[in-house]
Amino acid sequence: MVILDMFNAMAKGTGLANFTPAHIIMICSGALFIWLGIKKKFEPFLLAPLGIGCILVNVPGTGLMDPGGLLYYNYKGITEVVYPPLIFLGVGAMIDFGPLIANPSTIILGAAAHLGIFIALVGAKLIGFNIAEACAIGIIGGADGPMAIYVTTKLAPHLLGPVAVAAYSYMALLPLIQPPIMKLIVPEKERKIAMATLRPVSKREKVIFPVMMILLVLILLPPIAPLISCLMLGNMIRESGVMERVANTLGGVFLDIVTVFIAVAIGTTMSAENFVNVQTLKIVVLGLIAFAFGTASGLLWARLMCWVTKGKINPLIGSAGIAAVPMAARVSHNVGMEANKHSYLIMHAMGPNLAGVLGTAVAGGIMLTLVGVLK
Amino acid sequence: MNIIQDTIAGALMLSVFDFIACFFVLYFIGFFIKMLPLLNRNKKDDKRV
Repeated sequence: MVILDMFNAMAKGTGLANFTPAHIIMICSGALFIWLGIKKKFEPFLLAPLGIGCILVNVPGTGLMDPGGLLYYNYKGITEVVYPPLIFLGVGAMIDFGPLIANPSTIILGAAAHLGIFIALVGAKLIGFNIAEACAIGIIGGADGPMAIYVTTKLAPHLLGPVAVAAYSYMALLPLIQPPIMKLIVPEKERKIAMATLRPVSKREKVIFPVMMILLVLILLPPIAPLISCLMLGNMIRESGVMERVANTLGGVFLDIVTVFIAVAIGTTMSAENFVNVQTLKIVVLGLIAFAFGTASGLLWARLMCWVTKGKINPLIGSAGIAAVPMAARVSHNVGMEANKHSYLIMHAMGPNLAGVLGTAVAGGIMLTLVGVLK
Repeated sequence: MNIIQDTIAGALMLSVFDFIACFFVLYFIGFFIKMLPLLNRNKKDDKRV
């Protein structure tokens, strides 16, 4: 009898006894993310660890997410808003704002491509979310993972899981989402436009730019200080030219490691108990709507700029205004190359792409200010 | 107290205001970026980094 009781206790202590269909659905979702990351190479740094996090949290009885568990502390990196500024620090050290400085007129595409945020916001309100939740859902359309996490943590922390998963998944799947919309909105004649080479940008301009941005953005929108100040600090380290080793580490290994940590943390938000419900489905659909409308509005505004400049601007760079640095710029470049093999849009698309980061920050900052977080 | 009401009208108002404000703020930032070349005082500064 004692032996039987021991076997019984053992069986109850394993994950098998507590598995539900929802756990199996989520483990399959985790496996799908890993497959997309490794086999399809859609942002493997994001999707593979995200899938691992998803699987780990859906094996019952491990206690990894309980206080004291390994993943519990990793998840604190999101809830205590540690990882998003660190990601921005690395991104700042990685990116060159030269294309934006060389062609500042494209900065406006960073605003135009954010119509999706507001369509999703109103849509979320219409289907029953409160205004703070609607803002958190809308910011998915900013295609900026750290900013989505930051705004959601402040406005609707209970939605962090689905919002972060939707934001990061759609960013990784941008090469699938954007090209059909781009080909639908921009006629082939305009897709073939080859843009003139950008002017060289001096070191002096590049070093002063981050300091100027810190002052301008923080004076206008203090709620986003943690993210923008880290982004610009990283960029100043890069452009100063006297901290090359630090800049290379921040924009390389450091950024990759923090991305892995944040992706695992996002994956751990996908527990069957919190994730398999109609609300998650609504958020995922609204996120896709936000991405699609943001892409479309950026392209339409860029078509307007193309018309005003008499064909000097290839409208394909408009979709890069959605942010998602540098994926969206790469998509613009690749679709442009399909139409004209002599059209190199990557640097031209980086201008609106970087402006998209600023645009998302501005949109998020205004939401945080007006929806009462600073009360 | 929240400035924006938790209604559909509030969501619409926030969306329109935020969207337009994004244009103004980015245009404002763009204006300052356009001024950056004025800081180049000589040919040495103009070299590509």
